[in-house]
Amino acid sequence: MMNSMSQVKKYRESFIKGLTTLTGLPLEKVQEYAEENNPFNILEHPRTIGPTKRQLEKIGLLNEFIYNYQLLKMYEGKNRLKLDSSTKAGQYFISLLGGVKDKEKFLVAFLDNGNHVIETRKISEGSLGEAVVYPREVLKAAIACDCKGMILAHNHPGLSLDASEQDRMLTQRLVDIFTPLDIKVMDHIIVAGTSYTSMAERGYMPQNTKALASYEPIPVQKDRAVEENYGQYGCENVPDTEEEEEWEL
Amino acid sequence: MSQLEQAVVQKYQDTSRLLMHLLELDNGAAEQVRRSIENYGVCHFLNNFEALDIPPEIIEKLQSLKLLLNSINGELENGRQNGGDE
Repeated sequence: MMNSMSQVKKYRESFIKGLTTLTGLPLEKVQEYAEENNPFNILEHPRTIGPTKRQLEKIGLLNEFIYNYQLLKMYEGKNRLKLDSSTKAGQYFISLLGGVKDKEKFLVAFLDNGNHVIETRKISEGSLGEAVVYPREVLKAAIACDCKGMILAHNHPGLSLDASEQDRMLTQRLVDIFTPLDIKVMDHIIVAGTSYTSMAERGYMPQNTKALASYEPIPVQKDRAVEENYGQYGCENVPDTEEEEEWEL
Repeated sequence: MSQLEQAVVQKYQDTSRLLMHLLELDNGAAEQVRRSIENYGVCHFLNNFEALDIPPEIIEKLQSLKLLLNSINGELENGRQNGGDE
């Protein structure tokens, strides 16, 4: 059993750090109060610590937020986000990457065996044409959250919806790493503005490993929308041959 | 839309608004936070805000908020285990 006293101390320290950062209450003052009192009481009786008007307002906002959060947490408990199709994954990553115009970001959603999102992690970010994916970082995050599957995503600031050779190579490299670990790389979503391409829908996802796992950094190539003049189509007008991909682990 | 669903939608809108004021978000960050919370829920948002395109100082405040919420839940859990002595 974990040492209860050290746990209590840890919670109180975290609470004080969070409270002072969010409300502007001076750290020394809160620490002094906590020597004789339970610091959690500050939320219920904020005036005991003599806050300014602004700090009092912030504590009020924080209290309201905590109340809403606890309610919604119960409501959401049974409704965890599930990415079980390319359409849902595409819409999800548009919400995260759709507004990113001046840089390239590479994200990974790590999934449990029911395709629920455990965590979505930013793996890399760089100015145009300079983002680099470090496979070790993806591996570390995947192992830490004990995922069973993952969906890769990055944005094309130039708005090309085409999956480049570099995108396919990057996907293959990650499949080479994760397939032997029984972690499925289910899709690679490319976001361009408010549209997306799903490599799974297009049939571009590698089905097997091709080489031994390599952990060398992988550059995310700048998309070539202008020079290659690819047709732009998103989820609304994907050709008939490309049906929504549904996944099962 | 049922009454419960309406109440939940309202609660999400209120929660986004509270965060906007608590963290002093500018319009761009507020819109991203609002979209994330209203589309995917507040728990998902708090677990994944680092993937959003928001300034580092806001990420830092959100980390503090997450820390604070975890500590409150930990303190409550501790209190329950100790029979409410805390």
